[in-house]
Amino acid sequence: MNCEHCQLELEDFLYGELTERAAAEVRQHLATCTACVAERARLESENSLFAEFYEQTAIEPAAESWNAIRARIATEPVLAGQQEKAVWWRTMFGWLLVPSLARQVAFALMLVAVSVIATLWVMRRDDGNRLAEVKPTPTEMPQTIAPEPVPAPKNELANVRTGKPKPQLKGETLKIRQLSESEVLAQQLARTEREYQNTIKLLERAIAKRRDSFAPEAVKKYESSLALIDSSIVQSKRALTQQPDDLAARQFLLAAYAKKVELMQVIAMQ
Amino acid sequence: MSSLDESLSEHLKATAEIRDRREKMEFSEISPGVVARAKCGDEEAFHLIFNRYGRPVLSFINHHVRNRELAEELAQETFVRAYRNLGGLKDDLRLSTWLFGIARNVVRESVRQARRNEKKVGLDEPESLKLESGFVLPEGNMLDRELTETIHRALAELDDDKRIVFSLKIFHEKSYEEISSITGHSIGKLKTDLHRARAEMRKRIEPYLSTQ
Repeated sequence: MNCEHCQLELEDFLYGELTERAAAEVRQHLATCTACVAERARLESENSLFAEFYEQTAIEPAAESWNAIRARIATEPVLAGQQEKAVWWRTMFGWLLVPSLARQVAFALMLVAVSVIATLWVMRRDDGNRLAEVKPTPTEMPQTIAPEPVPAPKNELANVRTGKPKPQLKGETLKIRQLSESEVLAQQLARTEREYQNTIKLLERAIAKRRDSFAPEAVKKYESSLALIDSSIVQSKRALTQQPDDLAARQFLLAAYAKKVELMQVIAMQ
Repeated sequence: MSSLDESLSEHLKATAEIRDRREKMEFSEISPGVVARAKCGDEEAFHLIFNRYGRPVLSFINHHVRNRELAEELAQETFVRAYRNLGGLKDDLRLSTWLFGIARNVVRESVRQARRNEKKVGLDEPESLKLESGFVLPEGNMLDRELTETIHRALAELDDDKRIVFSLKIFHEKSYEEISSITGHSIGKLKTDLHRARAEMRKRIEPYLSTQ
């Protein structure tokens, strides 16, 4: 170990942050180097000064501080259920909260947001046209069509599930009702999900073509990462099935899709 | 064993003892049972947490905003958020690290808001280097007061990342792992920031060290 290396490690050495082996190297160097011993003494004296500074400038909370906190928490009781949910999400999706991932996911979500805005704009424009032309495509926006023809299906959902187009009565007047916020969100989610799924299919094909050229280790890592993301997607979907209005689950689902696309892009471009 | 080895061993032993004592003190004052009670909404248990961590958290905040009144306000906000989100604390033994993480976020939000409002409360602006009326320098001889003010100013001139790692490492003796949990930065970045912060602080206090 030379002096430059030793002096870089000295601070960590003093704070016990080095591994036993690295600390032993520093100790060994200090045993023979007066310059580094002097540097250590300097660090120690600076630390003493900073410790003194801290003790002199540290402040105690004012007497009324606790009363102010108490008054505020009295009106904000602990929401145990909400906290459990937060813990659940953190456990399941903690990897999405790593800062670098969070930035990437945020970028992907921004792209999704742009896509969703464009989609909504197109949908609204289409709605306007349909009002004038009355040429609906039942499978595209089934929930916006209110009156049922005769014979009417038992319910709207049944029609959608079977995928059968609704018979159109001659001269029928269609009324477009205002979508609720949750319906708009559900539409956005479905459309964005479809976009992601299409992209994923394309990437799968591209990766499959080049799969033999990848290193086995890379394939292994890729597959394990993919499995983790797929598991997040499944969990998010399950949560959404149980609670369709769960905004956090929606966000996590889109973030998981974004991450999957990103991972596949990295592999496909290798 | 040489005398140098002996002195180093003694130093390491003393450091370890101090850490042990600090940890024991921390755990004896705030046991996991207290945290568990606070999680269930026990106000008395939360008061114990406030009594134990009020001073370090408030001091940490004050070293960043340098305004006693604002620091008090932000410390209160920190503890209110902590109370609200105690259920999210996974490891009760890491309460201190968790609280500092909240305090750091509260400070950042406040600085951003202040910048937005052009009130120049942020420490990076030259105006903020002026001592606020709420900040009282300790009594002592002129050199002590001057040195204290010099350290304050030097600290204020560090950028946010460097100031935070310097404060947590040097004043609050947190490990890199803990600081990484608080700030979200990698240990490599923390080491680089600390090294640079140390060099910048050294430049400012060097004249005082040589005369002491």
